[in-house]
Parts: sequence; C-alpha cells; structure tokens
Amino acid sequence: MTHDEGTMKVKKLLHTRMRVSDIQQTIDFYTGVLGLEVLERKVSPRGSHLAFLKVPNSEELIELCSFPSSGPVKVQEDLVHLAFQVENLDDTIEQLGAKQIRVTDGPTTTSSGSRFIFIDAPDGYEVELIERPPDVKIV
Amino acid sequence: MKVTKLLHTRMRVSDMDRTLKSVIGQSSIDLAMMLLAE
Repeated sequence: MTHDEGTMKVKKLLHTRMRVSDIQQTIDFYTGVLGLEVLERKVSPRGSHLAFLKVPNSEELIELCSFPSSGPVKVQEDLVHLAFQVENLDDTIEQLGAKQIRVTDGPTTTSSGSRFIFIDAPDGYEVELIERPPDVKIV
Repeated sequence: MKVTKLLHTRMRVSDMDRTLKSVIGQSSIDLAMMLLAE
C-alpha cells in the first residue's frame, strides 16, 4: 500500500448525514422499522432541525437534517444507500411484511454467501439489509 | 425488528479513481490492496 507523504489523514468516520423532507417521518422509519435509537435532537445555528441516530454495535451515527430552505429533497435512484446487518434475513422479510414495508430488490445471494434485500426509507433513500456469514468482512 | 450493525455507506460516483484519490488520498488499486491485506 502506498501513501503520499503530503496526504492528511482523518481520524474517524463520525456520521453520515441525510437531508430529509419530514424529519419525524424518517425518525419513525428508522426507529420503528429498523430499531435504531435517537441519541439527540437539536436545532443548528442556521436553523436546521437535526436528529442523531445510534445503530447497535456501531460508533458511526446517522444524522438526519431538515432544512426546507435548501429546497426540495430529491434522491436520485441508486445514488446512495446505508447497509445494515441483520441476524436472519428471512425473519427480517417476514417482519417487514407485517409492517407492510415492501422489499424493492432481492433477496439476493452474493458469491461470499451473504444474502441481502433492499427497502426504501422516506424520500426514496435506499436501505440494504444484509445477513452475512461470520467470516465475511465486506459483503 | 432490530438491525445489528451499520456495515457501510454506499455512494455511486462518476469517476471512482478521482473520488478515491481526492477524498481518501488513495487510488482504488491501493484501497483494494488494503482491503485484501486486512
């Protein structure tokens, strides 16, 4: 592996931010469907409404932002997604069905033996749910 | 249901090498080597 001597190095990935149309609707999705926890809600100095979500076993947070002055939220298809691990994909599909959440893609099995599906969060943000064997490090 | 971990964030980009070099400071070949070495 090569590093340019002049390249700065960040210390840590702290959060991923998504601007959304309706912050409460998005919070309800991530807490009610995926089981995440709201760590903090606040209003930034410029007036953005923010919510920080905690994912089990993960230090990186998800930051939701509502700031209508930036214009309507338009999420392009296949532009960005968050991928979460689940214990059992078949159970997950059943639980999603009970909440009337549609699986938009999959289930698909990768060459490494992982299985995944996609669902849509509010505003069309895509969410990948992956069940992967213990020895698989990426997907 | 409860997800058990955040695995990754994905971004589709126009030019993979340009994005890796400007944001991470490594080329995709370097990054692939790093991932394989882990």
